[in-house]
Amino acid sequence: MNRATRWVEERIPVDPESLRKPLREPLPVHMKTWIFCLGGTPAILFCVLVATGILLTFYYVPSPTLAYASVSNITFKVRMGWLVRGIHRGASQLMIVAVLLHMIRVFFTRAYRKPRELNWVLGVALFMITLTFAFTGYSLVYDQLSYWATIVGTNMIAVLPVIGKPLLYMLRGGPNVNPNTLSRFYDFHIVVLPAMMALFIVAHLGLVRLHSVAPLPDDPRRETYPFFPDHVLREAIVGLLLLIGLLNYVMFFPPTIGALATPGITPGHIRPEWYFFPTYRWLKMTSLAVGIGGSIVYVTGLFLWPFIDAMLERIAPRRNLWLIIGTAFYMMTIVFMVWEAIVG
Amino acid sequence: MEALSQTATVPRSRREFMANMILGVGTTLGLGSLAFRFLEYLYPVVLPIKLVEIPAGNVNEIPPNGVRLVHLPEGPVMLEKTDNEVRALSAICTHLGCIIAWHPKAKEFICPCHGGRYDFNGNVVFGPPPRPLEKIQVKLRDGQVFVLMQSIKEEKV
Ligand code: HEM
Ligand code: FES
Repeated sequence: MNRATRWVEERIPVDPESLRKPLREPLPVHMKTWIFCLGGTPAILFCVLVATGILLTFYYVPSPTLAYASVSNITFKVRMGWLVRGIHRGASQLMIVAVLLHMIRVFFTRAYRKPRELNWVLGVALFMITLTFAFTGYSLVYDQLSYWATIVGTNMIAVLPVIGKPLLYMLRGGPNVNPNTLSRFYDFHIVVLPAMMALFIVAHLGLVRLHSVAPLPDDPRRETYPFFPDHVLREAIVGLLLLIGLLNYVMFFPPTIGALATPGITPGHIRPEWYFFPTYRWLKMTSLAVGIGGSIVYVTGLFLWPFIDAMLERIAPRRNLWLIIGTAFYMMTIVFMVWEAIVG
Repeated sequence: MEALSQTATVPRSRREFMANMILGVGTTLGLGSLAFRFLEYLYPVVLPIKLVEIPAGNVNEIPPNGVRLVHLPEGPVMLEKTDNEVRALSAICTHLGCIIAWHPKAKEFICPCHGGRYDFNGNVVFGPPPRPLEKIQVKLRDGQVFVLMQSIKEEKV
């Protein structure tokens, strides 16, 4: 053994052989199918977002008077600023698509069932963190959409009985949207949420490891292949394709910026990003209480789904109620989204 | 044997239990109150409601039987003039807080966010808003309009 390796091994006394086994963890062959690589995609995108996000903080200024100018500066003046901001925005959109697709694949393979219920719950928490990332992220730009999304989004919290008002004040740092609000959203976006997401991803992957990947219900194959290098390589291919796609997207559609936020004037045509369309459509259709109540029921149902599935199975065994209800849920969400996209 | 060892350990385990109890409760209280201070740190200073008179322009600037939107630092206000009075409504939608606009043709206030609509009196005629527009007290002095609104003097902490 050469001197350098021995030097390191004496200071960091870990046997490399002991690392080999967990790295070689055998995976069932069905994981070779590309849709089963979807769990790795959000993990890769999270790394891309952290890297570009750190770069953005070098020029971004979280103050109501300076935020908009600093984002313009990044977009139009800073060298490669458009690229960094473009990748950050593009990756955030892809992140949501990736998490949704991963969730749909876990749902329809029913991989959330006993004993993996808690990993589904962790997954929904990750989904919520992803959406909060997106929401706080577009508040930072301080254009009209940022401002009015912040007003509407925070006001939704105030509707909750008893805790609504205190929670609203806490979130805004005052009764109204004010300079504290931007600091708080910034703090969430660059410190609190990334820390939570990193922690939750580790816990999520830890649980996947402890249970090993769920077997496919009707798959007779028993062969396996190693996590490293085979699966890591597949994920690397996915990651590279994503990056190439992202780069090209940003080249052809460089980021832009809307009109500066004007607190007194809500523009005539305003609506959130596409991933909030279902909620947005629902809020337009129902009274305030039903609008918020319905959203809470929806999210709670999502969190508790593995337990609801188990209950349905007990009540009506082998009727595939999970499939009927699940498909109905997904269809409803998609219909609301498309409806909003078309009708506006 | 078993019984013996049990009786032998009772006094000790009771003392241990008490010690653990005190430690546990103490730690929980200590950390809990510290956490509570931190929450307090994050909770904003909320000023008591204090209405002040804010000048909102001249009566003549409001079109007869029409509406004028004024942007005051205290918030946007819709001033209305009817045949025999001047009155004011908050321009903030009671649904989720967007600013409404007066549409003279439809004779309605329309909210751009979720399509809420109010009539000239501020009552909801369509959409998700849960309440009529908030009424604001008006005072007239020598043709000057004053509205009574929450002071924002020291709000920026
Ligand atoms: C930031 C977001 C997320 C990341 C980085 C992530 C990552 C992963 C990875 C790498 C796997 C291994 C299997 C695979 O690649 O498909 C996995 C499995 C799993 N995920 Fe996620 N996930 C995320 C969000 C979610 C969400 C939103 C849900 C559901 C609501 C979810 C539920 C699950 C479950 C139940 C498993 C176990 C599936 C099995 O054993 O086949 N995850 N996740
Ligand atoms: S905020 Fe006015 S209708 Fe929703």
